[in-house]
Amino acid sequence: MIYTAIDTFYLTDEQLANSPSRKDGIDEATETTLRIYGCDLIQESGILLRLPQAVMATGQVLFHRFYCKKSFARFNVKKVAASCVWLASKLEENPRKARQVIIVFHRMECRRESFPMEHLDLYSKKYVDLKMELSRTERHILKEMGFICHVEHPHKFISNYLATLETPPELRQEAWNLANDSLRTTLCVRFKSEVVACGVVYAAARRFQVPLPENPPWWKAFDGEKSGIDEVGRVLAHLYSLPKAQYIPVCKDGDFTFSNKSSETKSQSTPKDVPQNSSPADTDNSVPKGAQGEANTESNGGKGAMVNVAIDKLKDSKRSDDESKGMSTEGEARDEPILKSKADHIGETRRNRDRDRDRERDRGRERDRDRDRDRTKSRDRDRGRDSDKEREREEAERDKLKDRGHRSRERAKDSGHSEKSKRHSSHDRVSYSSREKDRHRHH
Amino acid sequence: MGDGSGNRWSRAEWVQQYDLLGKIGEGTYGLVFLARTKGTPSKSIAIKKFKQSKDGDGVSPTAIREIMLLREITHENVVKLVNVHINHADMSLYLAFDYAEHDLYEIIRHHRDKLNHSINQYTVKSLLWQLLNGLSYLHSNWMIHRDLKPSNILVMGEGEEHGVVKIADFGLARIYQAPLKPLSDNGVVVTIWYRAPELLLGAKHYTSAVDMWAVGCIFAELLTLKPLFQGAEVKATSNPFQLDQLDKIFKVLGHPTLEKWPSLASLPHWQQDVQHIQGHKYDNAGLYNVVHLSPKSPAYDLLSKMLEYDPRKRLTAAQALEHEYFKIEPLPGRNALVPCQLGEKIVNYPTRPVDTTTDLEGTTNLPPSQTVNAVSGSMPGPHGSNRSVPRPVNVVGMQRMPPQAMAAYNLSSQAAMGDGMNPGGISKQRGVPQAHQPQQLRRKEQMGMPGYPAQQKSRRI
Repeated sequence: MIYTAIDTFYLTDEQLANSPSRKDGIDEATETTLRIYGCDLIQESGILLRLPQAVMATGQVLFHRFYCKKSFARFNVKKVAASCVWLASKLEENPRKARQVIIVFHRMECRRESFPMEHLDLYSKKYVDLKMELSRTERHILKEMGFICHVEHPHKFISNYLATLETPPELRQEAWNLANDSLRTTLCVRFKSEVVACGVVYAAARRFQVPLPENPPWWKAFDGEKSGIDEVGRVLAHLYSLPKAQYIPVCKDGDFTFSNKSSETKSQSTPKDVPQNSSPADTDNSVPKGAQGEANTESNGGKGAMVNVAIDKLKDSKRSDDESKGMSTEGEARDEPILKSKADHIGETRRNRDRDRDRERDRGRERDRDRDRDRTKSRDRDRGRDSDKEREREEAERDKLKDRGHRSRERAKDSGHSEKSKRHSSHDRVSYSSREKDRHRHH
Repeated sequence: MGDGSGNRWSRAEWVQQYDLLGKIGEGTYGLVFLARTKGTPSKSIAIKKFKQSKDGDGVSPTAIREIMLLREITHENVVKLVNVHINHADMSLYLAFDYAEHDLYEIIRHHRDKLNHSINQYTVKSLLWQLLNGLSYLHSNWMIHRDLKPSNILVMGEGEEHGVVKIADFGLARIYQAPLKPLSDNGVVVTIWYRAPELLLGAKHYTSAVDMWAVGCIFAELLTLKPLFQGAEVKATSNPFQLDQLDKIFKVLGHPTLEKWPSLASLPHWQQDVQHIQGHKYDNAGLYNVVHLSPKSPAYDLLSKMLEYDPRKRLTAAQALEHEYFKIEPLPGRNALVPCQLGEKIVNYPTRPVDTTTDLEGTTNLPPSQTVNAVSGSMPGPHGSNRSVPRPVNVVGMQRMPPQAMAAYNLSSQAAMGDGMNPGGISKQRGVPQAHQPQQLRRKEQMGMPGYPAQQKSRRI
């Protein structure tokens, strides 16, 4: 049997921890958020472009591979996501025009970042520049991949594994959904497809409390390894614990937009910037405007510089929180703006999600007319499940909003859990992550 | 214009590693140039240019696919992709291949039109042997070529690899290991004279057996110096059914029957067009009459098994290599053009004409004042690359290699991908967190697995 180089793009945990973005000063949480955000863009744009799911799957894998070689600080996540879905549509033989991709990304950006909805003039300089950027980024991706863009997906193995294990039919859809979600993580560049497939099969079996044979261990028949399977479960549990990913501008060359309005707004606000290094703070301010106003009031009409300093301190506080992974030690007076900021943020997130769900529902309704087609039925079932998941997440966040006191208690609990988990064996850790997942679904 | 153009091209960094000699062909995707590498030892390179589509839709999917596949495979009988250059100025893509002086089309034509004599047994056997070696390698890596024909089978000129066969033009090739969609979604494949009957009858699922049918046609053509099934193609529709081509096949091999080809009934056009097919009657059908081989000879046995109607019974490349034909004298050799036996006469095949007035942009200029030596040593004129003999009919819309395909000359380490700014910038990441079973084992398991369960088709990932 002749071995080929297909399916060789894998990294060690150390290589991932020392990613190009990390070397540019982007912390792990931000990179994770941007990876999820980019994958969300690829997935949503693929739906709007009416692409088969294989294209979005391939696009997300190429996206992760690219950012293992290049930094988010030097290649804007929106540009790369657009070029990845465009390139994947070619590779999976469902090519789309650059015009279609640009229009879809422009519209998604206006919705997600609350820009005024505008018509994209196909004869404007902006459009021509966007097209050139799309092609240029595509060439960068191809060059970094060495033109080797073969992608093997865990989905291929799931049906065979479940059939061999003779599991109940409901596991199939669950494992399938988990495999789709795994594409938002770096599992695809850490483990072979068979390992990820075993991991999602295992997670689905635990979800439905279906026992799998352990003597001999079932995963050995499928090229899986226990440690890898456990890690898949942990990574998915972590993914589900995160809030919906939002865009974070980190590019050194300034922010990139598909839209014109944002560029104009930014150019207008540029003269107002007094300190140079406060530019990121300003960008951050633009999201929760209410919070900014309140912060101003609470600081007793402090000057802009003071506000910026305060926000910088908040950022430092957040970063130190991430580093120490402990509770915030900020005084109660400063906790207040944090809480309010989060509240507004969550509210906006929910509004965005509602809009997304409405759009999905409309599309589902359109597709319902073609009920004769099996694929449509399968697709509807799948989409329904996604909608359920979003509802779960929304409810979870609503509960958080309702009970702030409870949240502080939960934070204490989380802290305790994290301490305990460090001492547990791998088996216990699996149990922990499973419990976490159950709680998440229960909400 | 010429001077300006030359100056502009000399600015591209990657071009400076080559001495451009001229144009040697063109096709729907772009142009092909002949160049030599600078430095010692210098070697000949064929540069295939993919032009940007008018829509400005970035890198051509055909180019990406060809590069992807060629980057994955390494075999002496498969064309070697030496380098890839991306020109940032006009976003065009240049593929550099080791150059091959000859191809089977030219060799056959030379024997038919110039020598008026058949190709000697050693050369036929060696060409076929090496072609099957390369094809067996491709098929064992789940790769179907889907455009095998004489002009895509290259043979190296004088040098270290003299007489070595190279399979070229992977624009239609696919990896068919568990494809997400039927291969027939790619549309019509294989040039019509070499197209397998299951394709002509509209098979939705087909296998590497379509390549073996094409090899059978090539084998017969090497023996007789003319195409075996020379049907006229109806191009107006995307309908895979081609009555005339099937007619040419049935005239030689007789009607296929359900008894011999059980899956025939499930082919769409066998049902729909059965009246057209059955309406013709064929007397004196017999492959041996066309190729003038004794039905008892090993060569005839091999050929007839390659041209088996039922794709599941058709000989595979690996099986063909074990056939008795390759075990009897004369034994096949690495240099297909120079027989080992002293008695045989060596044939000197002509070299390709080079159009030295065309630059990388494809613009025809006045010849530069400095003399550029063409490889052939002669140049008929601006139309030197034109052919007087009509070619096999190309399928509309398919990306095609030019009449002169490209292939390897001189072994060389595979250079990294590069563009003008960073010629050697690419390196492969290869690291796995934990030790795992060897890839070979997994690949073997894949090979042995039956077709994926039908339920998978109804599910979208």
